Amino acid sequence: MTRNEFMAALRRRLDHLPPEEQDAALKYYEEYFDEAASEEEAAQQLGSPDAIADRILSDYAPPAAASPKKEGRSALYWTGIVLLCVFASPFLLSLGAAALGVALGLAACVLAALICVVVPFFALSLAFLCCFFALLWAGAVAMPAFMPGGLLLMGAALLCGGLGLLNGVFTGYLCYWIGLLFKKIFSSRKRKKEARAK
Amino acid sequence: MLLPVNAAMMDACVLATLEREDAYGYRITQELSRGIGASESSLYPVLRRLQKDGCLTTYDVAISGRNRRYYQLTPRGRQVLATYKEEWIEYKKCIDKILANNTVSEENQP
Repeated sequence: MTRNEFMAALRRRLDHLPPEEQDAALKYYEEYFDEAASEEEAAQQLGSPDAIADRILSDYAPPAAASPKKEGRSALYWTGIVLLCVFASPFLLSLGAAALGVALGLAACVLAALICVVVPFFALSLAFLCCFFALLWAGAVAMPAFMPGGLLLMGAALLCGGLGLLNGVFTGYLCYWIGLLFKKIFSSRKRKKEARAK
Repeated sequence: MLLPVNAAMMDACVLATLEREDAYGYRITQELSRGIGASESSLYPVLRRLQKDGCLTTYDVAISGRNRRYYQLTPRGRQVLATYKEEWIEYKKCIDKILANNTVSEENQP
């Protein structure tokens, strides 16, 4: 078998493969002929192009099986697609509904968790504020009777006030961050919606 | 050879051939047919599959007016080869044990 006969036979047999697969295989065997000492030697070493094609085709069973569909998309094929859509629609719809439910549930959980985090901080600030006023008042009352005790109470009041202030600032930041987080979540959802609309 | 080289062993042999240096199809065929008597019809699909699995990459070198496609091991290819080597040692041990045991039991038979 000559080089041309070999290559022609191989090309014929690989006709159903995707072009890039055909190209890669044919190039490989062209190169093989180029490298071999002689055409006869190469042809003899390579053996039958049919055997080679069988091996290559068996490796590409999925694309080879898919390509005939591409050629003749028969009525049966389209009927199958339509039937598949019809039969799958309840499943797909319920799947979508379930996904939406899960998303909403998750959002509610996140919201609840955030509230649980923020509310105690507010309460703590309030408590510090109350302590501040109470201790201030106690200090003012105690001052005339027992000066060091009054001063101690006043100092404690200031400490509480300071802590309350710090906590208040922190709570403010926390709210700000949470706001940013929500903004991000909603904007990304918007983007997704836009992308889906496209 | 009496014992056939299966697909996995063929993969291992091809990877091992490329471990030392990159080579082109014809060269690999020569090495393998010298080593294990593999026929060419089985090599190209093996190369293509290994390439698709990410074990090999190719690059083209122009040589005296034509093209030579070199095959090169990827890090993943080296990893797969190392696994094959370990597996082979295990396999060899198992077969050796069975073959040796049979010999011993035959000897013990009166």
